[in-house]
Amino acid sequence: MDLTLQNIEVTVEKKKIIKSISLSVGKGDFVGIIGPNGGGKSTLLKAVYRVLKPSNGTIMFGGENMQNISLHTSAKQMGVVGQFNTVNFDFTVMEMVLMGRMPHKKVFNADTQEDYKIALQALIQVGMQEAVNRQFVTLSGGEKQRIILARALAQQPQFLVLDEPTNHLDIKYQLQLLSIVKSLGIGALAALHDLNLAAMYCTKLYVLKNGCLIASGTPREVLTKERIRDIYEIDCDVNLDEQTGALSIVYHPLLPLHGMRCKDAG
Amino acid sequence: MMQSSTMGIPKEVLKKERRFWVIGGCLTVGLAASILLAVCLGSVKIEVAAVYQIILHKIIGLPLDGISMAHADIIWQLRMPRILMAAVVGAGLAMCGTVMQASVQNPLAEPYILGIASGASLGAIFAIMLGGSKVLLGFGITVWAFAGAILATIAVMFLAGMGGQMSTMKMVLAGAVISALFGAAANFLIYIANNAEGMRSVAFWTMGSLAGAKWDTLLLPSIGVSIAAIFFLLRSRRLNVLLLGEEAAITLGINIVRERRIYMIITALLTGMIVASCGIFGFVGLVIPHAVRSIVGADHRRLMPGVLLVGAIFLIWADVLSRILLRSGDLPIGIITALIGAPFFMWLLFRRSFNFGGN
Repeated sequence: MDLTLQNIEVTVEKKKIIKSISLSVGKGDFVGIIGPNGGGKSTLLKAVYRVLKPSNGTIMFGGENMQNISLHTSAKQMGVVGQFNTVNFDFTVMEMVLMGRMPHKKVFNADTQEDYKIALQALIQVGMQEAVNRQFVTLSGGEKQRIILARALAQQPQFLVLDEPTNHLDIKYQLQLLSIVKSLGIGALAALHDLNLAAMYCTKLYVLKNGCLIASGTPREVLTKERIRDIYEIDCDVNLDEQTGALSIVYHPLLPLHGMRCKDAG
Repeated sequence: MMQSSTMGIPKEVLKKERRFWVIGGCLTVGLAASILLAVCLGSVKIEVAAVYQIILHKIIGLPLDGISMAHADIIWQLRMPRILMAAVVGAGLAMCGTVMQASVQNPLAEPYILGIASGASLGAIFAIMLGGSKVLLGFGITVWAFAGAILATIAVMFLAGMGGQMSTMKMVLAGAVISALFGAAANFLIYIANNAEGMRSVAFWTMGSLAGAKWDTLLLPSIGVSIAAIFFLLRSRRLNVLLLGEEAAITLGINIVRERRIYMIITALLTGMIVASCGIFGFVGLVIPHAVRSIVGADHRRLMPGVLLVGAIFLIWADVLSRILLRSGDLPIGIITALIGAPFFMWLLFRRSFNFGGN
């Protein structure tokens, strides 16, 4: 499904965190949002997955105004991998993933063979099928993150929202998670920190700083040496990797490391 | 190990399901047995055969030969309603505790967390102290206690809703504030009334007692607990999602603010009703949900039926103890539930296999 934001503003406790942002995610697009900490990435995503209400602007989801879609309906279509995965109660991994079936259930419906099938398939996709019966609270941060992705997959969504989904993951699972999302071929909007990964997977990037959109375009258009200095106040080299065809960004240390000098640090 | 190729309901899940039905069956039998055993126990010795003869007489009209009417009255007018009240109240409090824990996503939540106990106490104390031992304005202590409970809940909701969004943390804190405030008001009343007899009945009331249970006082709590039980059993899946926190619940399609408000109003009404009819007993609503969770897991579809049954059984036996421990009369049941509940809670806390309150 596609998603369009028109002049979205989000105000939290009288402070305007998001200032008139418009962006669009087409069907099958994997769109990344990058930018420094506190730039408003999570807040913008929260407005998209309906935890925060925009104070201004419209969100169109699948051609319909989000305001007119019930939470129940949007949950059937939009899966979310957020940063809110502390659970104080003992659920097994299977129970956690099955909760992804919630939007498809009515009051009297029990979990069917089909639900288990979907949940198990999702667990296999994230490589956690061996953990069905483990307690969610006993998993490591990265394992939890993969279970949350499995739960979102069990929703069988037409759109995914991911807020720094690669947090806590080792490099293999960072690549695996983003590959899974990409392979679904559905629309996806993700806040990402790792510029190399963003360049590798995203079809389009938006740069958010101080609640404003300061750039957008394909990774090659957005991720230039100058712009990265603008956004993050750091220096780097941007090269095109011949083997993979992906951008490769190498950062310069802020302070000179031993035996190596930065040209600007002099 | 699970075979990932079979792609159906995993074996472990089926095993768990079977285990749940076995546990559920045992508990149901246990509840029936508890009622039938508890009715034979009491300070007046009555032959077991006579007890059942009386019960059968009342239910299906078997003749009552050679049994004194006094005994029949003890069994049918005193013990039976009291035992059923214990079952209803135990089930109700345990259920309210479970729902509260889910609503505020806090394993330490219990039915009284929103200041209900302090509100009910204030109402009751108000009635006892200012209305003499009888009534105030034509209403009994029960009505005043109930009004106090509701007043406290409304105050907590209002306080938590001030300054924007109502968060669970704010609710818990508001509950603490209101408890302190109402507690102070209650103590103030006790202090200025300076009424020794009233103080004794206040003390008895705040420690809880089922001694006042009659068939007609049993009716309202039974209806309330039954309706709420059906409602929450049907909402088990939503309660599960509530435990995941606000954001996750919203992304799974649950309007958490509305849902939580409904649950809290229902639990407040129910707890208010229970407290008003039998006073306050702690630990039932806190310990029973955890105890059952440690056996059947956190999934409310299994937890809720378990909690209802175990809560009922627990309070029946706590009440039996309160009836037979002292020769001179009833021991307040609140003392017993706390005496059993506190150590049991400690044991749950320190058991390593049960992850209790997260990290």
